[in-house]
Amino acid sequence: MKRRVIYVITDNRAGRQYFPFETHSDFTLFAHCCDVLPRLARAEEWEAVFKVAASVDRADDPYRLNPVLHWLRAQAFADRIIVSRRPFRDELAHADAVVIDYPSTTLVEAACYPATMLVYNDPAFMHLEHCAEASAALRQAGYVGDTWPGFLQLLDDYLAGKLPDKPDKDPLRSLFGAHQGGGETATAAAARAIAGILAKGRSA
Amino acid sequence: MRQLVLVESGLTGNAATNVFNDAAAVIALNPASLHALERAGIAAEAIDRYTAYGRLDADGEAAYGRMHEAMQAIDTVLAPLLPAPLIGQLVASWLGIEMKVLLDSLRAKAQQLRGAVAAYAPQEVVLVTPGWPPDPLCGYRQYRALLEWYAAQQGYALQLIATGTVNAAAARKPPQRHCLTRLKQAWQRFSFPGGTGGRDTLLFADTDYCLGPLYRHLHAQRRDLALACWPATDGSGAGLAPAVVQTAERLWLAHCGFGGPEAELLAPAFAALLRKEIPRLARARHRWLLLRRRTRLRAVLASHGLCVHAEINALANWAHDAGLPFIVYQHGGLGCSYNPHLLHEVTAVNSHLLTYGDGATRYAEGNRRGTACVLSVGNNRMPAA
Repeated sequence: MKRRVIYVITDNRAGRQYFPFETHSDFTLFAHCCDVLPRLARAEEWEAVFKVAASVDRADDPYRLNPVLHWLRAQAFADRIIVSRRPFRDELAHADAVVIDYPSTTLVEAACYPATMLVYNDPAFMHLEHCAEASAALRQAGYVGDTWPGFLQLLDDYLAGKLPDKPDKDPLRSLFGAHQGGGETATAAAARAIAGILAKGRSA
Repeated sequence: MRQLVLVESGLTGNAATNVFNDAAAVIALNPASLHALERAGIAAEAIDRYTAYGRLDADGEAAYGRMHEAMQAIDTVLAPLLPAPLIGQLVASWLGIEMKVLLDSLRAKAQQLRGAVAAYAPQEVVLVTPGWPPDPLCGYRQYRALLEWYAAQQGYALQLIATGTVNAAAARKPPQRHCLTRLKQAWQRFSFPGGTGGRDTLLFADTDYCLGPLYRHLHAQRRDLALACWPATDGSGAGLAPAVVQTAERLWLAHCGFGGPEAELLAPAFAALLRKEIPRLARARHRWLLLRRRTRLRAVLASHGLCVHAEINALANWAHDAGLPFIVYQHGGLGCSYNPHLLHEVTAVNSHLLTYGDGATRYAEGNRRGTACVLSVGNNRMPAA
């Protein structure tokens, strides 16, 4: 049975930018897809899932459109890629590996599931570099590429079985993700925190 | 004539074909255009190659503090001129981050266009564009606004070729302005399920991401609490007098601290933003006062990602002024993958920040601007460890 790898992308920026701390441009996000998807398709031991945001080909706004699905349909390997619009959590539950080229919410969600993470974290965009604790926890939890060629090499090596799985996500998950209370859910913890805030407000 | 062809719209269209043959260069302004050109066999480069991120980072960092100062200066003049429910309110400051997004977006595109024009020294720039008017408030449509400004200043000719878009449905109307206004989708309900019945009331400013499960949990478990959901606020209501709009534009030019197209194009953009937001904020203010009168409002909850929007900023300030807790729940990310500027904004007026873990809490405590109490609760959309 083939193992399952998910490649998840983020929304286009639609021409909006914020400096510093800006993420990759829409061009770069598209170029990433054109680099990653052929690699996933070539990896015969793997079943490749391409998890796209609902807005990837939204009809009402050409500026948010990521042309990757148009591009993919024209590729000879298109039938080797499963395009998914299901919630990311549903895909994660059945994944052996997850490829993330923009470390944001998808990263914290992937950290809460066993799949091995391959993460591109470009220091030029300062995503995690201003928090040493997060950077260290991420490097323990998954394979992290700091340059795009370096990241693609990691991806090639992992898909070819040259790198072992890396499921030790506890520090990342506990410091930046899931609730740690024994038996208590994060929702219950949040509700308890709010109750405390309200009680304090009443006594003040 | 040496032509530089810039392509804004996704499909090239027959009318535009000839111009590509004679061009010194064809440059796509977005990836959809680049892909369409490649499919048509037209060699093109991406405008992205003219982006110098280091310079934009430095300018963006400097602009953050300056934008705050400018908006504060504008507020001192503008606040007394606002319509009745907003008199004295700091509306310009609430719009500060939104204006910075517009500024940074415009500045990046200006840098790209200057680089492309310098590289090819065209006598004429051809813009292949949808028929929509230029709009400094709207993503990729800023290119046309900038090109018209530069053409007038630098003396090259600008030819516009209207063409199709990626799909016919999208061609019928211009795209939405994507600033930070995700609120229309998020704020659908305005309700007091079960009525307040004299109970303490908790206001949900939105129910995005982690707040959705929390809302449902409290609704089921805390019968002693009434939950109010803030609705989408439409733009009808008190507007700005034309003289006040002119004043706002003049104040922007006087206080923004820079010149060029960024200053000149953003002056009317600032006025347009005020015209759009002030009626919405006026209605929000009425609604807030009503809520305060009719309920025992005890706290306001919002999600992290929305806290730079003017209406949320307003709610945070109104809660602060009323001595009520304004509680923000982290919205995705690792906590530290949000930029420090955003954390500064979020923690400037809110009283509590709920994070996904102790690492995110330590990061927030190290980057907060105000005195917000930061508590680790975890991401409630993920399974517990």
